[in-house]
Amino acid sequence: MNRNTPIQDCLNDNLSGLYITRQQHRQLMDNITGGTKMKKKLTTSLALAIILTLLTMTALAALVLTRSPQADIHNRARAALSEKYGLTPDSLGTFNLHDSQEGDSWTVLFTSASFHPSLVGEYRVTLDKDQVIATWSHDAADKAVWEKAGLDSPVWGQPQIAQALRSPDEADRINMALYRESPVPANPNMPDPEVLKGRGEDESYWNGEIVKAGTPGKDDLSREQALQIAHQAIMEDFGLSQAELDAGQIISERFYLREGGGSLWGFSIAVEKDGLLWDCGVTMDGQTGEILLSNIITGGNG
Amino acid sequence: MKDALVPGEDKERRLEAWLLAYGDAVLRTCFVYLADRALAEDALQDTFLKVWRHMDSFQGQNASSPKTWIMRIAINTCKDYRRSAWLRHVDMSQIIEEMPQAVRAPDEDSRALFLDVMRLPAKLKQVILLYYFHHMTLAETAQALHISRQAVQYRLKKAYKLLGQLPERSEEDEPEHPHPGLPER
Repeated sequence: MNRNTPIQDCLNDNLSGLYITRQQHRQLMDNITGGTKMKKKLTTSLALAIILTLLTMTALAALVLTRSPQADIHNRARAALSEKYGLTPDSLGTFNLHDSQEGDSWTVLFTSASFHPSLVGEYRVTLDKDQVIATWSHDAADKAVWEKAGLDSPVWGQPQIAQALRSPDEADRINMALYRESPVPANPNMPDPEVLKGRGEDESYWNGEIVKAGTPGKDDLSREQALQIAHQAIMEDFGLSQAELDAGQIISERFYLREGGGSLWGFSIAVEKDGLLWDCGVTMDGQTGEILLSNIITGGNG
Repeated sequence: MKDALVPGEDKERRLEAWLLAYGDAVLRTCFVYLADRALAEDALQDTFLKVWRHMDSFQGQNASSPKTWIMRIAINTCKDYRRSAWLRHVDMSQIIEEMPQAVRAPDEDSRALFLDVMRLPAKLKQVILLYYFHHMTLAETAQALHISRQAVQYRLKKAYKLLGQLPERSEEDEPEHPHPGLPER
């Protein structure tokens, strides 16, 4: 079949330099067929051992978590939106967070990651020493329009987001029509391209800095220690139970070395709750265990 | 390359054949989907690990070709990666200049269109990749994505619109299902 279209040509041309080298092919075969230890994958027995260890450790001593100012601000911003607009953790999981700091004042912007921005709008929380102010771009909309309405409402607040999460096909139909009429950038977190130039294959962009994949050293938390801290943070920040976490699945675990020294542990754990998939992410200082960022995603990306 | 599956081959040789036949295609698909080369390479490995683990179950299925089956696994693997909360902070955007030098140097229009494809919503990107890049039929695309043929056509139509493209109808498109509903040229 030869569909001679500009789309096909652009894909063929632009991707023609991306292929598996002979060395990569050999390495992949070794990794997959057992020649080399696979990264990231947990065997059932190892997972059970870790769970038992964590349960024992949890019984012995409850962890006292520390959070970076940024992580603390995110939690306070989420709490403010829950209080003022009734947004639940699973609804908040459909938003991206962007923060900025000016002096002692922080602003956290919640932009939609799952639904068309014209429906859900954006939330802004300003926090300083004395006060927390939460606003919504749909604040001017008549509450009667959306408070008891379904997905056909032009404004989506907590009721509609909750319904959309549980009726994804209907939500998708409405949103795709809007995206067709009014496309929005798929990824609002795009960094300055200059930052990424010359980046190595083992490097990633995290929260404004370049980090490099590595392995924990003697000063770093072990994977098991870091995972226990991640569990604790998810329970505290998003109200999940240990049992729910134990039934979840680790989607990714990453250890990175930071440019200015130090390291990061990052975990992403998928948990099923009330029929929804919650993807809970925690990033912490690789040495101290201080929580640097935590978030959840509930709306998926596609 | 449906004939990459040779009856009687042992499991490892079969994997090797599939990796040779479809590895590059999976890597490129994962790259377009994840917009990050390192992640795409991880997803490639995870895809073929799943292929390796579930090869026996595939052998009992006649419903799809190896290519369709492998692409379905690749797309689902990429979906898992995209769902990862970690990826909200590790930025997935990969500028085109970081890609390996293309064998066929694309012109400016081609690069611009490619970047537009990269920016498509995931669901639209999937059908564009399978239909145009992997040359799957509408039926195969639908099978790979576990969606209806009509849904494939619907998404293609949306993708064309977002890309500012009109679909070409070649004589090799399936004549009995000639993209109903797509804009006319």
